[in-house]
Amino acid sequence: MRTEILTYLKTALASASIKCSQELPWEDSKDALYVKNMKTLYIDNGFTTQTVKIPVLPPSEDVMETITTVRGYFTVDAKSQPSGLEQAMSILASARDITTISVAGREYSYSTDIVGDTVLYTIEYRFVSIT
Amino acid sequence: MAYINAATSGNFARMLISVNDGSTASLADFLTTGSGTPVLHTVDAGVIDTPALQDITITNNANTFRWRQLDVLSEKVISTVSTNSIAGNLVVDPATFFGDDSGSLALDKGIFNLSNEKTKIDFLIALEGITQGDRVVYGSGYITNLAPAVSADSPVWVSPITIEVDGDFTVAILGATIS
Repeated sequence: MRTEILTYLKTALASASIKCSQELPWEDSKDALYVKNMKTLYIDNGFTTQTVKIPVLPPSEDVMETITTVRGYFTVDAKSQPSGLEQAMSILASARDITTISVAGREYSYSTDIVGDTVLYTIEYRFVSIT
Repeated sequence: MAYINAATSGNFARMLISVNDGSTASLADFLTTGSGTPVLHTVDAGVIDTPALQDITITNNANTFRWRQLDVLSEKVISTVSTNSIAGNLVVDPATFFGDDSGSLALDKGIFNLSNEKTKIDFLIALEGITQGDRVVYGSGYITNLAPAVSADSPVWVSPITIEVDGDFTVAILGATIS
């Protein structure tokens, strides 16, 4: 899922005020990359949860719901937010519907947090499949 | 006090369906003798081993006749004929639900066609599995009440199923051999 989202956002954000990096949001000298490099989106590895959607007999044939969650992070200056931020946020929301991922359900959300003089944006994509 | 565990590893409650051959249902219509200790029997070829069952209900509704007499303070009652049925819900598996119409066996026809063509069937409900010593209930009847449905909230096809039973249930405990 991360690969498909990265591929889409690298192209879609090419001329936007927020750029997309290929790197994971690792930490350099105790600071995450997205803190050091503002206005750059870093997509983390996805993680998966599997729950029983419909229990049946035998249990080995249970209908399962698999939710894959992919998060991304970027920061902007809290004192002077970049122009085009709204457009970038719209592009991030549109990544929910990329056609290279075939799933039963798609969700997108983001949250903000002011840390010092920066605004940290945390975006989250959730893809639901039934097996 | 014991209880019936319907979902143990490798052994679980099952609904087997076979086409009625004109005679009274018997264990040999569904199972062949298997192997092991205790013996794990085998579902016979052509028999539908209904997959993905959500629940099974066995109903034996004994009807009654009540009357009143002047010389007693309460109603008198006797039992009359019963109404028997099997009910359940299942997640639709296309292979067993629709069959492939390659023959006249239950597995060829599929559950939907057995109902649609009003074919009399034999059924066996294994309460906890088909191992020697397990209890089963079997009989004959007709499949009804199929209503496959799907929704955006539950994007897999699910259907109720009812078997209206013709006559009595037979209760048995599986032995080491099926004959």
